[in-house]
Amino acid sequence: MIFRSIKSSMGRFAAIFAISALGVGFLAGLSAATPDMALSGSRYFENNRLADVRVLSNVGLDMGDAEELERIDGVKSVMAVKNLDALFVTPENETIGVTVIGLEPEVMLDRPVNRLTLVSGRLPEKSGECLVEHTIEAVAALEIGEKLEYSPQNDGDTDDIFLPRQLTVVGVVENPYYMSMQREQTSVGNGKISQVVYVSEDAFDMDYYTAVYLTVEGAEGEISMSDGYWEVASPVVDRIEKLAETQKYSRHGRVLSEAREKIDDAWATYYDKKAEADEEFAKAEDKIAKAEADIADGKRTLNEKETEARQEIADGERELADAYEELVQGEKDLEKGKQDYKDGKKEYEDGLAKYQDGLKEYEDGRADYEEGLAEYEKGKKEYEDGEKSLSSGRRRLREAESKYDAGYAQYKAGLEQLQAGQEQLDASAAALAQMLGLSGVTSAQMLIDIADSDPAVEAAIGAYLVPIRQGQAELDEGRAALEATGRQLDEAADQISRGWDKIYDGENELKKAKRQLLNAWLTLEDGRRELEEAEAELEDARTELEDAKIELEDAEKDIAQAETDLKDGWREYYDGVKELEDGKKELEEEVSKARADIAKGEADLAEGKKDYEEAKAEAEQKLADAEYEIRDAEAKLEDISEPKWYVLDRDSILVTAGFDSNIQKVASIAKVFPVFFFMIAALVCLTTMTRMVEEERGLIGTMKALGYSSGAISSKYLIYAFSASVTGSLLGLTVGFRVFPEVIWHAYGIMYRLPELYTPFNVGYAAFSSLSTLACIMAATWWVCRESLGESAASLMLPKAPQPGKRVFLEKIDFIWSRLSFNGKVTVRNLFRYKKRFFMTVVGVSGCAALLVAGFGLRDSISDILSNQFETLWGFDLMVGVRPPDEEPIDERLSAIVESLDGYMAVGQESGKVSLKGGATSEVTIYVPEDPNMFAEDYVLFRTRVGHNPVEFGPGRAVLTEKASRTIGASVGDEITLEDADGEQVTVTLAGITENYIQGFIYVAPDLYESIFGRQAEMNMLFCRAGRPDEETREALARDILKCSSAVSCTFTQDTAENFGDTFKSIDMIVIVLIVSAGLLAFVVLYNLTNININERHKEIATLKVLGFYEGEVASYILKETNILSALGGLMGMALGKVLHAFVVRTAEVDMVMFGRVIVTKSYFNAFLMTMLFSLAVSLFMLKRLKKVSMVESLKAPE
Amino acid sequence: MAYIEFDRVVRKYIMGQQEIYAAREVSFEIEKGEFCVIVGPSGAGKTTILNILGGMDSCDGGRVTLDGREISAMNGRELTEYRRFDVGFVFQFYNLVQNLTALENVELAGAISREPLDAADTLKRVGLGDRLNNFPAQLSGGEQQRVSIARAIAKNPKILLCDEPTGALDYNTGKTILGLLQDTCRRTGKTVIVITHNQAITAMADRVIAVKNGQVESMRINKEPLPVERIEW
Repeated sequence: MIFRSIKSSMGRFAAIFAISALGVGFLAGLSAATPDMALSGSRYFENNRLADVRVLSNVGLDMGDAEELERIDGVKSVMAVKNLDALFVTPENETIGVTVIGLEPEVMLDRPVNRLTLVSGRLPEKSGECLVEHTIEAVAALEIGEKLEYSPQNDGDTDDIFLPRQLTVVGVVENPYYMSMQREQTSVGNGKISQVVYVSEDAFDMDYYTAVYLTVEGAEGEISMSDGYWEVASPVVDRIEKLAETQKYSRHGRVLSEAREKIDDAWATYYDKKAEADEEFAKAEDKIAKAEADIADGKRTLNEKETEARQEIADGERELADAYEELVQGEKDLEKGKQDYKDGKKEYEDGLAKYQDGLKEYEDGRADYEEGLAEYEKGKKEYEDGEKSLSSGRRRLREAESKYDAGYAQYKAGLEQLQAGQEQLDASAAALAQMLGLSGVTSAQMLIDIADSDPAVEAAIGAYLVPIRQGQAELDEGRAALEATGRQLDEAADQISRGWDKIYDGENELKKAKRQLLNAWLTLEDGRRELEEAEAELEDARTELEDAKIELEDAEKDIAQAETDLKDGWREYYDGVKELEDGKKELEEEVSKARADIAKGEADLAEGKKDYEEAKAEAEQKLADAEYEIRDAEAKLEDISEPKWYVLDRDSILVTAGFDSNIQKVASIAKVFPVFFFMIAALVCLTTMTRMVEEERGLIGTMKALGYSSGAISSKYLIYAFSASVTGSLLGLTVGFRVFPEVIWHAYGIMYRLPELYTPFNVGYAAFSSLSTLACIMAATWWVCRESLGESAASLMLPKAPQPGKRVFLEKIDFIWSRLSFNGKVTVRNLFRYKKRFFMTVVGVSGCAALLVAGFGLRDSISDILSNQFETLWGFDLMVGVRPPDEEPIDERLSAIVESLDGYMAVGQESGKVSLKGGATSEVTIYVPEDPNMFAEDYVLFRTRVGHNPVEFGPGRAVLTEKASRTIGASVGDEITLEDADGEQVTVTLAGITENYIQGFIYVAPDLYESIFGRQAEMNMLFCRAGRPDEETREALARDILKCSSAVSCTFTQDTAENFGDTFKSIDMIVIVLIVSAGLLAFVVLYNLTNININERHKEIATLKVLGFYEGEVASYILKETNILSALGGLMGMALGKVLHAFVVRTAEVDMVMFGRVIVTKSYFNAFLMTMLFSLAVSLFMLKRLKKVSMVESLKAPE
Repeated sequence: MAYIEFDRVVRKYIMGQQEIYAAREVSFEIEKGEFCVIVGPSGAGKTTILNILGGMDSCDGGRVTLDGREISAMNGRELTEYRRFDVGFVFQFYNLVQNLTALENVELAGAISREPLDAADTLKRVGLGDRLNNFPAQLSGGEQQRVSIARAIAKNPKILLCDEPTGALDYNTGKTILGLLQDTCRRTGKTVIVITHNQAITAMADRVIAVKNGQVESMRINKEPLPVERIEW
């Protein structure tokens, strides 16, 4: 039955399963990380026999001391070691601090304490070979075959004790003591140890040991630094300290007397050498004086000779100058003559051109005249032709006129004749008519017409009519002929009159032409006269021009002569000049040669002097060094007058102490994160099971009615939840135990050479986390069951009355409500209807968003550190370590180099510790700048992190960096304890706390330093402003600087920044873990919410589909709610994330670094966006489920 | 051609190896404006007919047409639009959205229609003028069913499909609801199809289609349908 239930509700089962897996995985994984790391560290320490106690002494330790220690009850093994810190020069020409550890030739690796493991290469076989400590990638490693040169900068003591001058790396080893990349401070070089190397003990010429390491019996079985460990170790440490009280005097006496003897010997040698040196100096000085006198003589002679020669040259120069004057005058005259000639010639040419123009004009005039004349002749001829043709026309016309007159007379006569004939005929016809009795007939024609129309008449008079008809016909004919002639005559008359018109026109024209001809002739005559005058003028001009030409030719000849004369004059002058130059050059050469001889003599002398001075200085320096060393030794002897033993347990051993504190950090993070998951697990389970019980309400009622007990019925749901939770827990445990410790462990790979990680199945954490998750889920289930089972069987059988719709306060704001769509209204009411879901989702999603904000914020926090520290806060970018100037002044080369930079300042650097009234201590570097005011102006920006208010630093003030002040809990004005490298403690008042991110510093003004420590600070550093050079320049500069004898180290802050940058990359890993967890969380919660929503509203969805809602409309109806809740959760997550981020940053900070505290807006934005994306992804995923809802569901009875 | 036509409609389900016919060659027709009752015992295929006619299910054979459009040939999107614009559905269990008031429930349907009727007016017409702002949980079964009918009418569809509209109601309330449906049919001229197992209701129908074993057993036309008051069961 359970299986069937599970199968039929996979989604629900999966939700409980997943949230159990997440909750358990997180809790168990993160909790187990700490013990896993502690265990892995301890196993590594144990396997490699890491020392439990380290004993040091200011007078050294000897075999007797070691034997005494071994006798102490509870001490397992003892190992005495010779080691020292010295400066070496790497193949890259860098001077570094190196810890050299001696190994017993017979034992080498398998030492009783701090066992070594050979990683690669081989063991040293002869002197000058060494092993090097294995480092992690981030630290520059030495490789096999590379050589370390013993630095000449080491002090004499070291020179004496350590024999080899070159070490060749032949192998790489691991020492558990150096698992951490942090190294102890040292007194050599810049105070930093960069490498640890191992050589055979023979390399040390010392009769004592520097340290004794020992292990405690029984401690190896305990987790390092745990309570159990201290129970075993502490009594032994106490016993060692007790032994120290007496044993420390044993070596002391012997050491004292030996040292005294050595110092006395040294003094004797020193005085001998000094006397010897003084004698040599006197001799050398004599020689120099003689050479100086010789040179002075030579100089005087040379000067006299030179003066004489120069006088001669001056005379020659004057003569030449006179000649030059004359020549220049001649040249000027010639120029003038030339100019005159040129002017004359120009005038002549102008005249010639004018003459030619005139000639041309004359010829043109002449041609015009000829042309005019020809035209005139032509016109005259035309006129005469016209006259001739006119008179012949007149003649022809007159002939035609007489012809016309004759014709007209004839025509007139014919007309009269015809008229007479007609009258006759008409009279005869009238008579005839009278005869016939026809009255009224007056003409022949009338009679004819009558006859033609009246046959009777015709018949009567036909015969008489014939002649009349004939006569009439003839008359008509004659009339027609006459009329034709008349027409011809009219025409002829017309023609004649037109002819006359033409003649008159012709005559008029001719008259006009005649007038024109006359005018032309007059004009021509004028032209001819003018031409003749012009010809005469031209002739005169020509003669004048020819005269001018002859004059010009004469002038030209004169000029040529003058030029030749001048040229000769110049040649002579230049010969003179050259002669003089030669003389001069000769003189200069001779003089300079003589001078060079003298200079060489002088240079030789200077060199000799310089050699002498250098030799003297060197000798004096050597003597001073020797004296200093002797006095130093004397001082040291004073110092060690009180012997002292240092007994250091694992609390004071860097590797174990640091490792332990880092583990504690993980533990604190592990406490917060799972809280989210637990809250959410409970909520998820509550909502899920509530739904399940509600769905099966009817079934529960039926079972109850059948007589099943409440326990039996609820057992089903408890078993259901139980199986989901248990299977989920198992998955969570398997994954969590493995993944979380692994990820965190690797994040620490930037600080440690990590040994293998053990991730044992931790029964305790497994049980705790699974059982608590289980309990949480079971409690939620039981609570839900109890609520339902409380009702009677009968009421259970009835469907639960649907939760009534409720009005929400938003409805009262009509302004908003009326603008909402139905979808919106339903969504708003639903949001307030199911409170459990509301909280589950908002809490879950806000958890997701908070994780994202924390993750992104963490990145913001570290990304700003480097630029803030190295660009904003620190104005300097180069630190040069120098020998203390009171021991050895800064040499010229180094001063020249630093002078060439933008600025530099001497600063005293010292390592130290600060604390407040015996509270927590913080390691800091003490900086004492030479000129505090200028330091604050140009080198370090003193300000508060919040608000960026300036922090005052100047004479008499001490300013601490923020992280250190927070660690010790100090605030401005507090009196804090400052401890220097030698352990001397003083009290100083804090004048300010300044922003700082990397490492801790206390800046102390030199006057204050002197007043609190009673001595001046050693100015062993030069802070320089090199203008942030590029890498190439940096390397070149560093090489130059390190070549200088007084430079010990050279560090560019840019290089430091780059190293840190690599380190911070590992933080990204944590960010990814956070993002993935956030995604999982969001998915589980939103999936569950949507799943429940869809299940519960199956019928509603089906109804909407039946009503005809489109797919998209249905989806938005359901999913809008999810999205709004996501957004709400997301917004809440922003605030929550800020808190979480602050916490994570505080715990995750590495000691020497302070992370930024600000999350940029973009990160909030990204986190929110990502949350919404997760929500969207779930929505898309759920769309498929929505599509599957069948419409037939709508027909079913309510559940 | 009749307003609604079922022409040899086949619907079968495959249960394992077996084919079960929910409808075998169902044929009938309904004229526009008729009050039609489809009656038959449980499992006779009433619901299958309802699903197919309501555009919620497809058929495996035959043709279904409404007002000249072939429903059996429509794709999913067309079917959604068909339901959206042409069908008004009255459910046996009302299926009101619990989180919306009576008025809003009606408006919800109107919001997606082409020419919806005024929601408040429609509710007044079904006699709920004074319960507009009550949530479903505050209404009796009969009132809820009236809201459901109002919701169907407000969409102004071509047909009203009612699935056992009186099934969850008591006798008197059931009668009132049937009266409302009949009245709607007469007044608005909409085709109303009621699906029921209650033989008594057939007396008030214009047309009665009896189904049995996935087939149409008989179809008859009532010349004189009785008013609802005269029916008893």
